[in-house]
Amino acid sequence: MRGIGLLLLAVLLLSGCAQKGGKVVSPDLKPVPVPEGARCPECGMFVKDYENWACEAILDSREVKFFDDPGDMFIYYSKHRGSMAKIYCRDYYTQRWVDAERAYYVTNAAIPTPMGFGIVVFASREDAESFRRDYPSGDVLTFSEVVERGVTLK
Amino acid sequence: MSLEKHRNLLDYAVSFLLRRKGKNFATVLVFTLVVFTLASVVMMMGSLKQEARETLSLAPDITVQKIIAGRQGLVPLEYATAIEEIRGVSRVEPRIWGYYYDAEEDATYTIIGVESLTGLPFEVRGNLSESAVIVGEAIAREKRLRIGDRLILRDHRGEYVKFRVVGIFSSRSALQSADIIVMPRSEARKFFGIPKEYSNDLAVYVANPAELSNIAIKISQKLPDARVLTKQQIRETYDAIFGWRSGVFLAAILGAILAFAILVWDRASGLTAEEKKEIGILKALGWSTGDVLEMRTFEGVVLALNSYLAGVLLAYLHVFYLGAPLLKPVLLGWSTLYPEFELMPAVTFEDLILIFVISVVPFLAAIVVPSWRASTIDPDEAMRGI
Repeated sequence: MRGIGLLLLAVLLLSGCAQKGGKVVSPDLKPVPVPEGARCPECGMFVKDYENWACEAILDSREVKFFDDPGDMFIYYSKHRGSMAKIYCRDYYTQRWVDAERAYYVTNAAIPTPMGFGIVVFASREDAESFRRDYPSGDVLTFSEVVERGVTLK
Repeated sequence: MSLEKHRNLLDYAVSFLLRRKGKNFATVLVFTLVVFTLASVVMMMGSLKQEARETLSLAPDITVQKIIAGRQGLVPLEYATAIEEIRGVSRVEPRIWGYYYDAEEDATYTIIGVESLTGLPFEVRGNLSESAVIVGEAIAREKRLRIGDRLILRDHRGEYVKFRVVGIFSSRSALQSADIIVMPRSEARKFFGIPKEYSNDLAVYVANPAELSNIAIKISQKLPDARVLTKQQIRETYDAIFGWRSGVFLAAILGAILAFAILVWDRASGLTAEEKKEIGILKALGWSTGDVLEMRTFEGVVLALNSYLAGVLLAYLHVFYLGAPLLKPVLLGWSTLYPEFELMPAVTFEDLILIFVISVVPFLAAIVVPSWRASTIDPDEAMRGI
């Protein structure tokens, strides 16, 4: 019975996907809410299920890409940095969108993230330091420092 | 043509059943009883879990109480400030609420103080002055209140306080709303006599669910005399209680189900000499093995479907109309979580299939397999009774 339920759910999700085949755009470079059925371009996971870790990138074409883990966003950035106009990530504590390039990151964090990259996003350096005191592991880095070091799965 | 044949076989099966009224009636009775018991447990647990889920969806992420000498006391408002400083806390709400015993109706109501009467998910009409209240539909029914009526309650000093009813709310779940009176927080504070710098408990809201347990730990470190309850803990407690109780009960009736299975097997597999003879005559008259088998299957289906439908229907009436009087003593304990409440009908398709699979399918198997063996015997042998 549970199997049938899952199957139905899968069919529903897939059909939802097909309907929402259209691209999400943000003409004014403002963050947009994660739509149902959006998939991460790097790992293919549904982003809505991991909303508190979500990042989004607005491309030069104003199309929005959604990521379920900040690590996926960094990998995408390493391949497409020339065509990305604006990137937003969710602040760990407040869950508000923050400008990714001005955010602070704790890498090798000691908590599980959806893809296991272990990168956590913060609006301020103090927040990031406070997090590292709670979960003593990893480094506090800026956006460019994370890009420089490169992102790999733990 | 062929449809006509099946109809005739069904006809024959029914008349076959009616010829052995007493015996078949006993089977239907036992079968109905088994389905009824199973369905009652499944429906009641489904309903309780649904109630718990809906109640929990309204609960704050973390509830903070103050414990004085092992008992719950009033929470000073400094606690709220201390908690607000913790990173990741989006909002702390000091709550004023309590129980009120209405001697006239011999009932206990829950009075809840809210910041403002507007913006609640209920319709509000009339003058939202200071003494306005919204009451649950059970209270409105008991006290025959309508919007605009006066409600008089005795406050903590024993003085009568007049309130005006500006709304009556009803929700699908009786548990949440039936006995609730909602009034402005300042009014509730005055009514209960709770000092300005205290509240009953604190509702803490957390933005990121991943940080919830860490925040709970930080609160109990910061405030050692606080009791910190997370939504997750409450949910686990509910699940454990309901899961354990229904598990114990299902284990207890497992014996009954087994006894039923043995009875069915015995009845169906041990074809009497008379039944064998009948099958022999049918075969001599030109019935094929398939026809006999189909007739026997129809027989089983008629018995099983009637028992299943009767059992499920009775269980529904028992649980949702009568409030499960037969199960309550066995499953007592859920009622200590809350004051008495009506079970809200919550039957899923999956529940019905579950009951069907446990009861009807084994019965059909038990009835068809032995008949198949019987129907392959030689008619000559069968009629001579060898």
